[in-house]
Amino acid sequence: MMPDPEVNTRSETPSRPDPEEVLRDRRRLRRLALGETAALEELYDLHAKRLFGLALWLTRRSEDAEEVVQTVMVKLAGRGQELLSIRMPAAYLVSMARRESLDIVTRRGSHREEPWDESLFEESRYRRDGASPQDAVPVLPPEDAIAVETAMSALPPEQREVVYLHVYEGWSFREIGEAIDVPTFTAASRYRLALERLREQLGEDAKEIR
Amino acid sequence: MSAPEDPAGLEKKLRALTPKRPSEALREQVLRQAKAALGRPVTPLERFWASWSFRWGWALGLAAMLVIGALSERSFQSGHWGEGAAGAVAAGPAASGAQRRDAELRAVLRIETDLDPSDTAAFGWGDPNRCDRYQALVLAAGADAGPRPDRALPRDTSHPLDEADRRHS
Repeated sequence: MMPDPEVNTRSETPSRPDPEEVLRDRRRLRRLALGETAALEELYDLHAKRLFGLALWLTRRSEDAEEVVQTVMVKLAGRGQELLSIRMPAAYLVSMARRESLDIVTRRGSHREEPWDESLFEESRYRRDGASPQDAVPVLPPEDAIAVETAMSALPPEQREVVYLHVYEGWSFREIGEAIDVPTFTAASRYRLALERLREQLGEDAKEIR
Repeated sequence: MSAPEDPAGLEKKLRALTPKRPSEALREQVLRQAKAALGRPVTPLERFWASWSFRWGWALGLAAMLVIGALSERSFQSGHWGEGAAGAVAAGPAASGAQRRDAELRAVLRIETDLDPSDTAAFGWGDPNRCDRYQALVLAAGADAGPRPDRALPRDTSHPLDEADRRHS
């Protein structure tokens, strides 16, 4: 059964950083600076998914992404007084994760020939609309999902990260630009180029299948 | 598979997929490591130094210093440094800009007593507008300011202040 394109969207709402959330995050960092471990847990629960996702999309390996998340959280915990001067916590964490990921990719440079077979997406590409498991419906046909994933992994990292933050985290290009330290225009431009490349790639796949 | 015809369609396809998420085991591991790496708690003094209220206070203090400095500039040139600012401050927060300037000039010039004509150059003597204001101040102070200054007079010629001095002497 082909999914309805209108309902064929993620059930999760993108976590767009709003000013109140920024303030709450600043308070968590202040509590962390004062030595509250509960604040660390809250920060992890709120940001780890995003950091892991971004790291995975940049390094394309789960182990590396896990290492990035661990390094970021450990470094954050040890920042002490610096935590009090962080204005945009989410952007700060993304920036740290990005730097760690790119360091890993650079360190791995000599082993580029290693095959990469890490999936960027969850194995279960089903969304449950009803109460019973029988109501589970695929949100994207498997062949489409594989094609999207293949095309996505062929993008350069700087385009992949923008696609990830914009599509899956709901960040605006201005927020992305601030986090990855590029102008808003550049972030938007990278996104546009990424979509063009994806569209080309997916178009070619479609021809091959036919 | 069908090629997306428009960016919105492609975005929709992308959104239909769920990015991989970290495992629960990772949470335990990361939190254990991070808690072990937790630095010493920040002291209240460090917290105060890093606080935004302190920074804002510092910035506002600096801005206030700059304003007072600007107000004092002319009085500094006249050799009565600080008196202008004191006069402006004495005018009170409710005073208008013109009232502050008047208060400043009054304080600086000390019109009734030791008026020094050579100092008035620093107050824009020769500037017709200021000339009028000065005269108004002199009058307000009850001194004899002399005739209205001739706006066409060049700076070095005699001016009302000289005349006032002459009359007094």
